[in-house]
Amino acid sequence: MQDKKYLILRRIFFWLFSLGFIVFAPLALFYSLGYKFDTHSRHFQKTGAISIKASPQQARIFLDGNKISESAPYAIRGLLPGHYTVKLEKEGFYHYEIPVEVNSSYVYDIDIVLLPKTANIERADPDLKVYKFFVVKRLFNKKIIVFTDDEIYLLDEKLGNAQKIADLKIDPRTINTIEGLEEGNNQLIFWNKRNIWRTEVSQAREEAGNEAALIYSSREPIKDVFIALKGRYLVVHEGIRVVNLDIANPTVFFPVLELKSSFAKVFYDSESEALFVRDNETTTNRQTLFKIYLTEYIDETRSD
Amino acid sequence: MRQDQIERFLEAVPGSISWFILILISALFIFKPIAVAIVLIAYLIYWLCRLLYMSTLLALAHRRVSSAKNTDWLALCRNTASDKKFEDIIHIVLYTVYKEPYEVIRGSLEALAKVNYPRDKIIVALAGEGRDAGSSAKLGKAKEEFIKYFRDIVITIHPAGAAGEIPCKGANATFAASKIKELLEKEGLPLENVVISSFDADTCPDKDYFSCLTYNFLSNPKRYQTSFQPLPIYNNNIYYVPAFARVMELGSTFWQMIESMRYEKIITFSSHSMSFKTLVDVGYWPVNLVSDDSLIFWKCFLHFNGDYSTDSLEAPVYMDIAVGKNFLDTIAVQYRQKRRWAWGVETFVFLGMGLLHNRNIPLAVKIRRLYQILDNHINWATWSIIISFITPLVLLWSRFIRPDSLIFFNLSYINSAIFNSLILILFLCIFISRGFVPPRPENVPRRVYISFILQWFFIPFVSAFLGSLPALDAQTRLMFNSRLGFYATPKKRMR
Repeated sequence: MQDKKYLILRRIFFWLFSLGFIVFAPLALFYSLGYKFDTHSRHFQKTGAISIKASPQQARIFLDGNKISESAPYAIRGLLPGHYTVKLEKEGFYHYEIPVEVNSSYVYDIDIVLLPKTANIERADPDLKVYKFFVVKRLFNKKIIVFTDDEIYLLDEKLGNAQKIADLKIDPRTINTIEGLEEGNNQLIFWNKRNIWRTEVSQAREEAGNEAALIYSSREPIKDVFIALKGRYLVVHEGIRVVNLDIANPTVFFPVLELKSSFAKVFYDSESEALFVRDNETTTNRQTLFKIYLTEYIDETRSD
Repeated sequence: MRQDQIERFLEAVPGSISWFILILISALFIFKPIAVAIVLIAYLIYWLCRLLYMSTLLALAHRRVSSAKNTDWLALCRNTASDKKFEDIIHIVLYTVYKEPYEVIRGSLEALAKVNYPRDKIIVALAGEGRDAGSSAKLGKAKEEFIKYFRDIVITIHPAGAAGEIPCKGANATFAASKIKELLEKEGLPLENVVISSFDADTCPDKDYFSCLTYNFLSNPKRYQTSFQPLPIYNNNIYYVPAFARVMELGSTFWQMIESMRYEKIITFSSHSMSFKTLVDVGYWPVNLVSDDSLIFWKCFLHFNGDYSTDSLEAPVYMDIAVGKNFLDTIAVQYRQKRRWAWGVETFVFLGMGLLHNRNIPLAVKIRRLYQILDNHINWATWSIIISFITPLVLLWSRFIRPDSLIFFNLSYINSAIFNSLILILFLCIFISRGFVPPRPENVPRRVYISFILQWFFIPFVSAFLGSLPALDAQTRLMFNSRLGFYATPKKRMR
């Protein structure tokens, strides 16, 4: 009798957990693949997600202005593909805001450290919406170059005396991808993995008409860019080759050398106008250092 | 197809399936990472449901055993309506001994002498091995010390190297049982009234074991078609062994508790009892195979054309946790013991060959029983490797190759959610295991109880290293026809 009771209980639990698997497994799979039932269109739609990690963790998280969490880490799932803005806030820290493009079946990863507002911290004046900044040696006695969503500014060491140096008509998400910047001969060159932009700069305040222009697009990832030969050329290290670009006529470029290794390192010395290259040797495949005089090379190429 | 070819095919089946599963998941991850993520999500959810179901069975089994604790089995034996008389039942308690120290045998006989059952109905058989040089003296000493408690103590020494035998427990037990049969016939005791309990040298029966066994034997109309399986609780030396070994053996006890709730599936394991008549009818234990404890069930199953079952008894037996000379040696001993248990996969071949020649068992029963063995052994060999190693490795590697993939991101989330929910099961295990811990000896500090709780967090590592790996090892050996000899687990009783 007792055994019969246990047998019935066992069967109930068996079917309960079997049913649990039959129902829950497909739901979890659909959900994991990013499928979401849209009640408006009455169709399944593929979604993406945003993963947010922050330090400190007790930061409020906003998605398009709506508060969604009081702390990180946090994952926003079931987002339809599109553009969103994520903002993180915490008292005593500068807030952080980032435009995000969500694609279906993908996760956009945000992992940031919030900057504390302490007594020793000075804030840029005026309060600029900064997407990217670079510290240069000196440019018109100033040191900091700042990219906002539509302009480039030059700031002094105390983050004051902001001077606009050019207009910027680049997508803010693309601004976030800028990796390097070179200045010299009254021009500013900056680049990301694929593109190089240039703008002229002058000391006159609020110079009108300067606008950053795309001068070169590469198929290979751009690793380094140097302003060379008194500002007339750009040396571009992309993928496993080095090319020279005529700034006055950027459609004209010619290869300087083919590298053997994708880990090669190129350095331009403006005094000797030469390239120092660390690359694999042809015969031994050992990494070694080469020096190439650009002036001779350019002359040869030109005479050709 | 020749018989030996079919046998080789059956030997290769379990290992091939286990390796196929593990290799398939690994290969899929290289060539179709998204597919492996889908498979792993389904697999994790399947295991969560299965573990929750098994936990429910564990809780039910615990309730069943607990509620039977205060039962007066002896009174039930005397009052039960049966075609057999309680007074006529004779118990043979067969201890197979091989190199176990005297203290281990002594401890077991002490426990046997204290059972709440008429001891003039108990004949003890001490079955020694000729290969064990000190066997006769050791068993003689035990007989001298304990003969006063029992109807008789019979000593048999199994000669080494008999034709058709391998050095294993089954051969020793069979030799002893055939000698006991001669003795019973000489004394005119009908075999129908004799129940034999085949015990390891370290088995200490609960004081109610024989009264509970006798009641179940008397009240079961199919007593000759039933084996009786006690719950093996590995706790004789629980205070003196490393935490991981405790977890392993408590896991074995829990597994037997879960099995005890699956009435139609449970088979004999380790120490067990059965009708002596049935044992004689089926030709005793196999003498050329390692897994005698489960093979005797399948032998009976074939003999009775599938009409044979195992009754799980509410009274337990207490056994030793396998332990080595030191920590590392204990790992090695545990590994070898679990590999020997996993060698029980040979029952798949034994049953497969037996079913092939049996036309009286329905096909559905044949398939169900073969599937039962395969399912147990393949899951044993694969699940903890997949959950404890492959899934974390896939998640780690996916951070490099697919850092922005939504499905891997969600796999990680589901994996951690499942691990968190398993903590509930851990608490259940901790709660139930309390009842299996004997009183703390005076020389053991109180702080040992902290490790009794923390030990459960070793489960993911222990279950993979000492659960799945030995099982995979055993299946691989069987697959490549590399026979595993009988491993006599070292027994050591500390006081």
